[in-house]
Amino acid sequence: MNAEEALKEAMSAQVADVQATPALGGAVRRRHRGRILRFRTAGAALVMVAIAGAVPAYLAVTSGSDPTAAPATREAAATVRSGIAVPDVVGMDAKAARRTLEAAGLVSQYKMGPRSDTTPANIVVSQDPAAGAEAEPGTEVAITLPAARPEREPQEAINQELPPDLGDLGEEGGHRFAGVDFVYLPEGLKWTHWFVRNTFGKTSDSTMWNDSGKNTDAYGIQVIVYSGDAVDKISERMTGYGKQGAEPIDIRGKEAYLVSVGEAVGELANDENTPPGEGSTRTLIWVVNPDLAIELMMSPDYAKRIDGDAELKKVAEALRPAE
Amino acid sequence: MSVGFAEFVAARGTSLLRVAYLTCGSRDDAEDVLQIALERAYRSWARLREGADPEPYVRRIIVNTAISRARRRAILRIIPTSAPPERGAPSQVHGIELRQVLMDGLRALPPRQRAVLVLRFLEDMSEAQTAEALGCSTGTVKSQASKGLARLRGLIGSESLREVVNGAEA
Repeated sequence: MNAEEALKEAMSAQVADVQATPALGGAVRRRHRGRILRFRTAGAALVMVAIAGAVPAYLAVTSGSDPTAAPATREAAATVRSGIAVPDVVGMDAKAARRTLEAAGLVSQYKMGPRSDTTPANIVVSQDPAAGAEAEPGTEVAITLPAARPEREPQEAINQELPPDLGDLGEEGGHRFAGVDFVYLPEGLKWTHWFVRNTFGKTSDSTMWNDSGKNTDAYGIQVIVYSGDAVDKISERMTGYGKQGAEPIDIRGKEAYLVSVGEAVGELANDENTPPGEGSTRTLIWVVNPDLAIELMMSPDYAKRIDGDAELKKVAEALRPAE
Repeated sequence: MSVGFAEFVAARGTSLLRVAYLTCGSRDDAEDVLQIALERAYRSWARLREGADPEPYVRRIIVNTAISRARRRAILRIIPTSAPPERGAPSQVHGIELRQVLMDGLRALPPRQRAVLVLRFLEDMSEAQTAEALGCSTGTVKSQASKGLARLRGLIGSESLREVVNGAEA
């Protein structure tokens, strides 16, 4: 570490707890009561800041648009009207909790709690302010999630939302999984709400997409994201593919293999190891950086319906390690 | 129009406040400066949105407002400024204390040096982006950054820094 890095670290630590609450505008207004008329001119904007678009429109309109009423009266009116009861989100998964709070005009702030053996990492275990408390619109509600379990044991999850530390996929257009942004996927593919951790070695995360979005249906594209020691294994596997005569291709400057693989992933599919009628899987695999390798697989069924190799390459070219 | 503005503040407020905080050196000032910047941005919001990302514009207002305030205060001598606190032998600097020393040192730097360091190392902006935000040349950014860093290095001592880091890793 040099002085630049030390400074960077110190700055980040220094501001780690500095959060601009959406109520910042309101706080500033209160602090400058003496100058309130000046702020009135920009008042509509600041109230919008305070509530982040989350309360009924009448409040936003009232606060900035009536130049004749005494400021104190309007402040009071706004306060009375704006009090909302904090909903109970304990026991919800992280996304549902966020949606519920947003719907109530509040802002959620995830916090990491201690690990739990009984509660999954994406379930809210506590909240502050508590349910039923009165809060101004835009107030931050801290919702505590248990820390993720140490990634030792393989873990499979079905019909769950991704825990925040694993990414953001699903209906809302998120495309992040295991630290990788899947910027492009073939049209019509939906996330299946299925993912596994460490099933393919430590550390690995895998998920899949298909046409129906149901994890009871066959996959269309599956990805395995490898990090840690698992990356070395991938390098070895790629070396093996090369020795077996596969020609590497180029994915954004990295050597990659687009090969057909049967049941034994280390061996290229051929007449000997793949009985007739038993399909092999088109697989695109490469090492993105020393701590990240990607394996993309396309199911033989899905590959029949589209230009499989071209689509795999497009997915690969477009994905990016998350910043 | 105002909805876009609210969304922008909701999304980027924290990041902007952090820049303001480190550039100003105090949280009260930071909120003030951020508010000034947001007011100005709001007034020209429609025009801003026709172009691209409004964030650089708001950040530019923040750092320049912070700098000019700090300078004005220096002239009025409201706060003592510019002289880094006297420190004893730098070999005694450890862990948490290192962070404190760096932040005290940062606060004591001339405002523009401080702004350069914040933009370069907190916001990871390039020299060119930093120059644009501050309305100066990249040469100035380079020299201000190296002067600021040199002063911070002097405060902590490069030897002690290595020890701290090694100690933390051991």
